[in-house]
Amino acid sequence: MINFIWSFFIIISILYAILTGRINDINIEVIKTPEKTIEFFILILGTMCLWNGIMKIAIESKILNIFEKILEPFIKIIFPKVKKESKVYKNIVGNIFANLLGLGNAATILGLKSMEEMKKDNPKKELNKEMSMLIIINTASLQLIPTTIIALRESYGSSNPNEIIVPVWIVTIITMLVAIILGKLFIKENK
Amino acid sequence: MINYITTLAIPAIIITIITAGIINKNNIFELFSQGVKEALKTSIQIFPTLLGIFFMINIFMKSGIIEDICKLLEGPFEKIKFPKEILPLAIFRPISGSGAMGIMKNIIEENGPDSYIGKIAATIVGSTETTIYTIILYTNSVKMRVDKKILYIGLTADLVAILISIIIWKIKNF
Repeated sequence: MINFIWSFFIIISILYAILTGRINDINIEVIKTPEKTIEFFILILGTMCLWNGIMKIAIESKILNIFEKILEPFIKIIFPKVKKESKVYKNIVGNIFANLLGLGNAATILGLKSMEEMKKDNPKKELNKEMSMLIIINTASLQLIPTTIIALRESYGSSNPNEIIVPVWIVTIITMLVAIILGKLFIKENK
Repeated sequence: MINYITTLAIPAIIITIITAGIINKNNIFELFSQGVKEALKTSIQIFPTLLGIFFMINIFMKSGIIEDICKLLEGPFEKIKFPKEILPLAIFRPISGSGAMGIMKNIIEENGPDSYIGKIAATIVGSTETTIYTIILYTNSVKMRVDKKILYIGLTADLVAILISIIIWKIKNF
């Protein structure tokens, strides 16, 4: 899938730019992209490291236990085959926790760690259902308080920047449910 | 009140986690260093994917395809009362996080943060993720074959999020 998406987008974009006379913009972008990527990488690298360090303390200190109890029924439904007390389970709880707090970059590291762990138990060359479900819940936003957007609304002089919180919650919950239900229905068990 | 909670959230989390570590008699600094090391390793591993995705996305954004698609769709979408300002945001959102953020800023700048369109844009960005980026990042990290359905499910969820964001503010406006 990656090979297809990647080549498709690049080839189509370049051809389209040639046809519509925007090829100069593409040239500039080819030169600028590596620099921009390094900039972005350095920007998130420190945050990722700091929060993963703090999350590591949290995971090993039973602080997530209460949170784990609340999440347990949901995790059982979404990841029926992931054993409790396993490393994967802990990392998934950490991933959801970090997502809720809006620590997206720390969540990514924990999510990728979980993927690695799950790969060890999966001899097949295809993603199993649990791995697919983890990706699906991470494509839906879980963030409890959309801090960046509230701050942005405030900076543009909104009379009530927090007004969007409840709508965001409603949308997030419905979207998450839709994603989970679709995943449960359409992603096949890999035998 | 919520402002107060938001500013206090991060420090409170840090204090709680460190205190819990001390109570559990964990070697907290060792754990912290371990976590940092792990993150460093994983980040280096994802760098090729990151550069690859950014290369693809940046070229795609500069090709002008999206602008042209939006121009084409504006008419028909207006007929079904889909706010045309939201259209580029809807198309960009699953592809590029910074791209969507830029469009949202423009929308808020032009329409005001408390306008109907401005609120829809903020709700959409706040309640969705960069779906395509997330899928590529996660699948490429384990180098396994993926069911294309994951992509369709992610995009369907985004579409649902966009439609509900519009509906909510439509209802609230009356």
